[in-house]
Amino acid sequence: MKDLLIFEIDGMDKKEILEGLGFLIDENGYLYRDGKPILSKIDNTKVKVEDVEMIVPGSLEVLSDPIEVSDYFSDLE
Amino acid sequence: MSISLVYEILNLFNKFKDFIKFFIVNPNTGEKIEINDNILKNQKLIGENVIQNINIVNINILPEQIPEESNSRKKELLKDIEKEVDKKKGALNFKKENKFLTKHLSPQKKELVKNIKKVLKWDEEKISALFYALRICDLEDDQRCSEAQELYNKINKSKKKDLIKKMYNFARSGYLEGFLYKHIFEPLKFTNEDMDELLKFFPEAIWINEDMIPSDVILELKKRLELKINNVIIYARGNNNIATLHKALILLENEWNNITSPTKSYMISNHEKYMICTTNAEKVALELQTLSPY
Repeated sequence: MKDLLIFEIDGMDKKEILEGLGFLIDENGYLYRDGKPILSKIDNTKVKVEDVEMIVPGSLEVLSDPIEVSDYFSDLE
Repeated sequence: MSISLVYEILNLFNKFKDFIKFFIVNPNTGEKIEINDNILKNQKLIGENVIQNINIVNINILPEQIPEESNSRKKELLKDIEKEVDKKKGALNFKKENKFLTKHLSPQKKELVKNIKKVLKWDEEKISALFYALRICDLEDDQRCSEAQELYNKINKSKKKDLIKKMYNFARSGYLEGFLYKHIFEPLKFTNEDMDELLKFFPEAIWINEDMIPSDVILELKKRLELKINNVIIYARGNNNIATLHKALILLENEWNNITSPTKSYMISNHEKYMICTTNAEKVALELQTLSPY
């Protein structure tokens, strides 16, 4: 099992972090990258800032659902 | 968290130490220990916070010391986190109460998934559905009922919900271990292809759901009767489904009372009541028998 390194940031707004990581956020809070909306892998709906549970910074993969999160971590095992 | 990783992090973020504090977080309790030069003198403290393979680092950005430099420094910090996480495999977590980080499948369930994958060769879609189903079972077994419900609600929105629910039924009712065991004697049974059929129709059991009415249960039993399935178990979870079960048993009893010649029908061999988390559940084992009129 690989070691996982999880970062959490306090004292910085989630929106600010996401923008800092290169995401665009529209007035309704939806996330875009390279002009395309970020879609949930579970139900293919557009992902909002509030939906984001995790970001995989290297790939900028957005995990917006516990299922995706568990998928991601189980894949690493 | 290993001492070497603490050193690495300490070195990596040393340049930000004027505007951040960082902590090791115990994934189970949420307890935080500040990482600074002193922590390295207390290796026991670090050891106590090693939880499996998960290393959580909490970065606390202090109130703006130098506001005009703040934005560029935060961006620089994010870039460093990005690099480090990419190198080490990990993520930036926004939901601290996310228990899925700390709660992988129990060792027994992991072993079960591994065996099913290896022996029965189920495809990824089934394995993935099984994973979520077993996760709910684990949470329920640990009496983490609200988390189990939360995951169930999420799954309910998922495209894979039907498959996951069916897998959950198999898992919760203890069929998975049986699949592996029976496969030894019948090598074609419960393989990926066989499961495609069994997911459409599973002769050995009926799981009552909210969409079913009592006559649906009887209809399901008749299908099994035609196939001469000797033993069938009906499962009902939740008071509504249990009520449907009871009404279906009354219908079945009425059928027994109205036979005029020896007839094959299902008779109750066992009726069990139990709890799953905080929900009532019942299961009725039926056995195919030839009944004679009174």
